[in-house]
Amino acid sequence: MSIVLAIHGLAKSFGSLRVIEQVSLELEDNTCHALIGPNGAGKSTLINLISGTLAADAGTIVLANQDLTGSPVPHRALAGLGRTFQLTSIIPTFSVLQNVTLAAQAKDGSSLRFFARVAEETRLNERARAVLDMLDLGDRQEIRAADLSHGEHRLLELAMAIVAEPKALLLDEPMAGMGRGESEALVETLVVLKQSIPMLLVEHDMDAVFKLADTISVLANGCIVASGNPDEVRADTHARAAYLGGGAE
Amino acid sequence: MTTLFLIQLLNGVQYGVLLFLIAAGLTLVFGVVGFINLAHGVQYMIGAYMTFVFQSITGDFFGALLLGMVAALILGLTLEVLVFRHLYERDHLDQVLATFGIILFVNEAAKVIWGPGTLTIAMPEILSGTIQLTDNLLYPVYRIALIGMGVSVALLLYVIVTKTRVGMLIRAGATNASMVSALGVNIHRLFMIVFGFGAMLAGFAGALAAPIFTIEPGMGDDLLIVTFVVIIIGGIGSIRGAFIAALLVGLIDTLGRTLATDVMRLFFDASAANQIGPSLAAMLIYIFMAAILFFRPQGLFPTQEAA
Amino acid sequence: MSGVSTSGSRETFSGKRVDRSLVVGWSIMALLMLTPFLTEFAGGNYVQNIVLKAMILAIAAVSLDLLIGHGGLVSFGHAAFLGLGSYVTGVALHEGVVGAVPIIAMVVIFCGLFAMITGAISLRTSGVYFIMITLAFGQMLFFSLSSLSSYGGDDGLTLWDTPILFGQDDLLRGTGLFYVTLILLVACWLLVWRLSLSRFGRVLRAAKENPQRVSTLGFNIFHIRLIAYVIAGTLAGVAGFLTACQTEFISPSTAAWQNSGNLIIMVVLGGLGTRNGAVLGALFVVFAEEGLSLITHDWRLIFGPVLVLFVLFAKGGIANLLPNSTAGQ
Repeated sequence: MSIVLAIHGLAKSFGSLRVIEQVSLELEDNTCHALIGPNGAGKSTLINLISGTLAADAGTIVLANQDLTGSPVPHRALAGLGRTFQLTSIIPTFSVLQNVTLAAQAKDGSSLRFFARVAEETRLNERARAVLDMLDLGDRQEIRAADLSHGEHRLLELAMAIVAEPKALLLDEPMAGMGRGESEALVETLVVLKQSIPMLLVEHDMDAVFKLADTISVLANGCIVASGNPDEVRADTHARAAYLGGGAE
Repeated sequence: MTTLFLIQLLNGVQYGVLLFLIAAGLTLVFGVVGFINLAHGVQYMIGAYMTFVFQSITGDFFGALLLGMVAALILGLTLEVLVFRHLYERDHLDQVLATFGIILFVNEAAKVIWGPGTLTIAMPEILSGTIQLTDNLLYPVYRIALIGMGVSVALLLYVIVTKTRVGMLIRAGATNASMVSALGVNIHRLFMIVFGFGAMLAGFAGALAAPIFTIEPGMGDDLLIVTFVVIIIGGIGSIRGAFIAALLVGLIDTLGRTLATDVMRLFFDASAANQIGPSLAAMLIYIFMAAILFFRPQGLFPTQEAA
Repeated sequence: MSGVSTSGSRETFSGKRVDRSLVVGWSIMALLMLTPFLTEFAGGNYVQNIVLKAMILAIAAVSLDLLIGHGGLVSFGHAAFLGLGSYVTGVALHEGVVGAVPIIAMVVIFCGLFAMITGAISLRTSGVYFIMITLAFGQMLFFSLSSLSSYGGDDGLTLWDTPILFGQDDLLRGTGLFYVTLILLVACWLLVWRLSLSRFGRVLRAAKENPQRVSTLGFNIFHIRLIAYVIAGTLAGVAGFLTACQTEFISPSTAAWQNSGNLIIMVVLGGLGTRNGAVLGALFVVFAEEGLSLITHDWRLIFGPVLVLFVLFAKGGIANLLPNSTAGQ
């Protein structure tokens, strides 16, 4: 199995507060690597470091043999790193379709086109519609994104991340705020998706994690305290200590 | 030659001190309230005009100065209650437009009431005259007094902001106003204090400047933009930044205007230098601002993100 | 069913929505085209000149709307390009260059460069900082123009020549200038419209609402915005050229920040980001100022508070008051 995303020795401090310390992990092709841990462990910070939103103090990030360490955010996206946000981050006044075609546009040639109407670009629209259909948002495509329900927002968030066919996907609590049924449907979709797009998944929903993850890493106080396949982690004493000692799940 | 340089140096410091008095209020209002107040320049102007008015009535400069400050304070608070407080939650574009409208109105009102021409105010007796600083250097007492008063105010502000409770709230508000509010502080009262104080400082600056500069409608506007440059360089919300930046801007502008043409003569012939010199001098503080921003977009002493 | 979303209708041609604003737009242009005929009967040259002034400022306003309405970039120094464009024109004429085409080429180059340099610095910031920095750069240009003593300095410079277009020296004067301006206005209006519908425009508008997301998708927002800034600055520079032609006079006050404020008022009053907002706003403001000044010399005493009241109570602008027009945001 080849390694798609390799993080090595990542560290980040805010002043004297060490938030992330010597974190290393690997994401293999066609797998889902889940990142779990108590609140405040630094999971979102880690995602931000990998996507480039925050600059790391140390460490390397390599995506499909391309060194992304120190690269700015757009560069990492173009190299094939996709991400979703924990707090839904979309373009509210655009329609659902426009949001996804915008995402598709990023990696489909130059955006320095000034005269052709982008709404008429069939290829972008088709790719967007294909993704929306896969996520069951097809019949909502003309709705203004701001008018969607919360669950639909999370799906749109995901659609925007995958339409550009990323090489690796960072998912920051995709199921956040979703009801039971919606979560289960999304898990099914992700199970299928990980065959084509390897994903690093941050989640609190343990059912989802154990259904999806091939590898699990436990982050506590900015360090990886346990890592391995689900059974190993379930049994690991450090992992248990992190959860039982570290507060709410 | 060095006498001229020293005079200009002192003039630069005096200009800087004046800029600081205006900038202090502006940067606090930006930093704490998050409000972009183009009308701050008219506070300065009203301070000058009202001092003129009270001086004509009472004949006493210092009393007039005090009353001028009070007038500026009253105007500031009136504007805050009538207009500004409804705009705190709005985006900056709205604030810009509304305060722009206020500038149009107040400037025009000044023109109507006092006429479009310039007015002058006599310097107070005890402060007129010159003082011997060195063998060759005679410098106006008034300007020295201005520098002294400005520095005193700066120190006073420093003490208030760092040592008192109100000052602590102001500093906290400059970094995170909603947090301060969430902690139970009456944020609106804090805003009013900040606004009022800033308006008073601007009015004070206007009153101080009145004997040196001419009083006319719109006198605050161009100065306001230089003040913007000062707080951009100093960092929005920072008094310390405003003080240092104000001095820098004052010195660069004053010395620049004196020296630019001469320096250009080193590179170009006289007639070209006479053309380029003044143009370059006019651009200096903006070039300086651009240079600072290139390396530090948030200014020298940022209190918050440059956004 | 399509046509429900407001922004969607701006791009997809879902029925009546876009057509309405187009009808309004072309009607305005038709009315402008007929103005020289209509003023024969009432108003004469005086009214025609006011309309000409409004059209020239409309070009500048349309270009500013690209920045504010579409890009969310509140530039408070846009009049600098008007001033720079008019000065390049005036200086060229003064120095003996009379061909309109070379003059416009110089206007484009100078304004483009100024926009590129100041934009590259200003766009590293956002929000309040951006507003203040653009204001400062505008002021910088104003003072630079004021210090040009051989071109009139503070007082400005009277122009004795008119640029020659297609071999004619009266094309850029009187009625000729009126129609040249109208053609340029239509071109500018169409350009900004097409830009907003293009790939470029989509990224620009998305970045206005959620720059972090747009960045994470892989777009270089700085580049996109800088290009928009240069386009806008160049178009405003052309408006400056036309100003010089109309007034036969160049003055630093064209670049004054109060003029920048005026442009912002036009764009906001007219309706940000709408098809016709900038043009309507320019027409309204110019006519309001003229009208009010006929009533009283101190018209700003009225205009100022009206502006404040507008900001406090009315939002959306004139374009949104028209029936069924495409809403702004």
